[in-house]
Amino acid sequence: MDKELQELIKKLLTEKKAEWAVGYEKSYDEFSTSPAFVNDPAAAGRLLFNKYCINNLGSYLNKLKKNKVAVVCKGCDIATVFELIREKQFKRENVTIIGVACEGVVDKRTGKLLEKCENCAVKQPVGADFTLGTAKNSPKPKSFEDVALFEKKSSKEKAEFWERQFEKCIRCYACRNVCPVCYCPDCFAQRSMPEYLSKHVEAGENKLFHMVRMQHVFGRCTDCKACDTACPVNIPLSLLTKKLAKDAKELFNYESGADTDARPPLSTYDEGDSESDIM
Amino acid sequence: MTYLISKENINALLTSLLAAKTVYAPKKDAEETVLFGKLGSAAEWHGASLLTHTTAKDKVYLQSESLFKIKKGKDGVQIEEPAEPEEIVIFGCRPCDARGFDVINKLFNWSNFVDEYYTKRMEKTTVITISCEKPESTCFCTSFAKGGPVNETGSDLLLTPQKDGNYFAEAVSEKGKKVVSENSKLFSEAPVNALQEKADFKTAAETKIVKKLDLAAIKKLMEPAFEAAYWDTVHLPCVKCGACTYVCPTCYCFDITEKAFDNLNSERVRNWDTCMSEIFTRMAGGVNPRTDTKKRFRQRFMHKFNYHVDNFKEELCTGCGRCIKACPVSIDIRKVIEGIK
Amino acid sequence: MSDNKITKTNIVGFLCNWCSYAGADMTGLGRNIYPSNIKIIRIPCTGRMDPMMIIEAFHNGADGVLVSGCHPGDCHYSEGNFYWRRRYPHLKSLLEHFGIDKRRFHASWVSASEGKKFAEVVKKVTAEVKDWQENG
Repeated sequence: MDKELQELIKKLLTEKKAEWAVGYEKSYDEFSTSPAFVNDPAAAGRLLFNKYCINNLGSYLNKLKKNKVAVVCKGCDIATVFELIREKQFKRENVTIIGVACEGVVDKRTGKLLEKCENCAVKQPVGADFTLGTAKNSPKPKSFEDVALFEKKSSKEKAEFWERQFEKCIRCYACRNVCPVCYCPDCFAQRSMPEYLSKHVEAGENKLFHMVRMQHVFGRCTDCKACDTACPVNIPLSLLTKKLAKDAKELFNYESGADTDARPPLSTYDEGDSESDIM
Repeated sequence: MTYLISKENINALLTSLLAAKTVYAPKKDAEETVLFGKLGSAAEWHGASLLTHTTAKDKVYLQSESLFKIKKGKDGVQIEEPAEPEEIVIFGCRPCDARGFDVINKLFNWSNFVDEYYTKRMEKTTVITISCEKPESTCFCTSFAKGGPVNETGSDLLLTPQKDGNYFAEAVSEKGKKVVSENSKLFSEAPVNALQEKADFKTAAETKIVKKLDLAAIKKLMEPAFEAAYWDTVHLPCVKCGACTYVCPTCYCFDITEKAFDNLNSERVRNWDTCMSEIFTRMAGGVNPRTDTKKRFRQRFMHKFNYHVDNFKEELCTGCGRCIKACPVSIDIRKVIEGIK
Repeated sequence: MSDNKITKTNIVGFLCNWCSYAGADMTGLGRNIYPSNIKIIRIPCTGRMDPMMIIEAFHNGADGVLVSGCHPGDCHYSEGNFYWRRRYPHLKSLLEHFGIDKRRFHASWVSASEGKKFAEVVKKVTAEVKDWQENG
């Protein structure tokens, strides 16, 4: 597939259908890749696609807003691109989505296949402008069992679990920075007047950061696992993003990244909305 | 001063150290993360040869250090100094981690400027290093003059594993000698061939290090290449988080802020800061000379391999490769500086 | 069971200016007694209730939070409370996921004339929060 991909990128750049191509290239060893930015057709030979291509390249589209971009996307990354188009971050016609069939990607920290790849319905990508390769989708759909199991814990157990996790957090903001929908130029975490979040790094403040960030991405997060795989201290952020996806579906029948014309759940309402437990 | 300590006695040594002081050693948690944690018992030490996700730097140079507390009362304003730091032992770090302390020590004791907070803690810290048997694809410690899998810079006691499972122990400093003398029953005389075994160990480990950089040659190219077009494209994959800086054994930049609890109590705190962050250079009034992402990226490499060398005659790096592993997009620091022409 | 001596119960109440805040005022006028654990903050409308403020309230030590607004259809700004009606279950679920017990976070619709209801609401909320404090 690499040859096919390189030829396609070369063609798009030569014909000026794209000014930049964002793909993957080899990194420090055979188990790692890095995002590659190519604007010269002659350099298209750097690009490849394999099971170590774990990064969500859709998150770079915000940086190259002013250009026409061709981006290599796995099936799961396409949802991110659509979500950003829905948020009017750039126009659909300025992006060429190159879908690549994917058998699953490997987390460089564990050497194992990502959990999301075991129940993937878009191994054969859908919605791309060009599709390379073929792959068979997983027979079983995405399961929220682990979230449901966690929900059964007592609030004390949950609080202790997160306290232990956020004790590890070093506030590097890798999770926020790799997130495709976290693009606020003046993030709440960086404000000093008023100071919402202290620079003091300790479990309580760390928890505050993650709680607010998760709330801010609700309904926009596509559960791409970029944050979870980026964390240098292995905090299970996937348990949070999956919860967001579950709630969006169960409370508002909404799935992020599916429809570029949709209104996200919290920016709209229905007169028949549930009263839940409001007194 | 050289000795031998058996594998069993390592556990006994840990237990003995635990009785008197706080011991930080690699500990594995439920998510398979290996971090320097407080040991409750010798059994908690994760002894397998693994590079920990973060360094032990934060045990001496705290990520959030309270400088002093301010209390306003009826009698005026009182400043409360922080408590005296306690004695700690950092056990089981690698030579690249220990050398990180050596690099930062010089910075926090620079000419007339002595950082009391760091220095007091470092005085109360004993570093027990274990020589590195399995360098990883990201390691490049041998690119540095004082770097290497059995290098003792920054260590108080260096333990090199031997073929028979025992450890060849070298007391590098007075603190190291003290550890041995206080636990003399656990240490025996080093065998005759121990130094040769150590040399063989070093050679075997060094063959696993895939890359050796010519840092002197690279430094010469850096200043002239400051405005090169190279930086316009090499920074693009970087997401400008701070993972690389926070897992680095030598990164030291900090920010001092005040936190008010109410009208009467506040605290001045020093926190780590990262040059990759947009607000790193933000000043009062909102002025920010380095908002450009390319400039921030370039700054990191310039600081580590150019400016710091000018000031301290050594690079601000020990070649541990954690930045490469921690980087969410796998940017390789070696590749970046080798690409400078 | 309850060996925990609760020394204090702090509840923060975000009340919308037009209905609930006026309603709470009515409670006092009507001499309806309600627990004084609640500290009221006036907001123009529940539509403006920023989830971050609720999270910060819990972070800063609030034992419980109550958000109260106009009944659906009666919002002074027409639709503010409709947005809040969507935001609340999502927020409650997310907070629960982080370990903030569901007994700590409540919402109600209290109109300007419902002085008695407000007292009942506060009594209920205080009881639930104290239940969480005592029984975990």
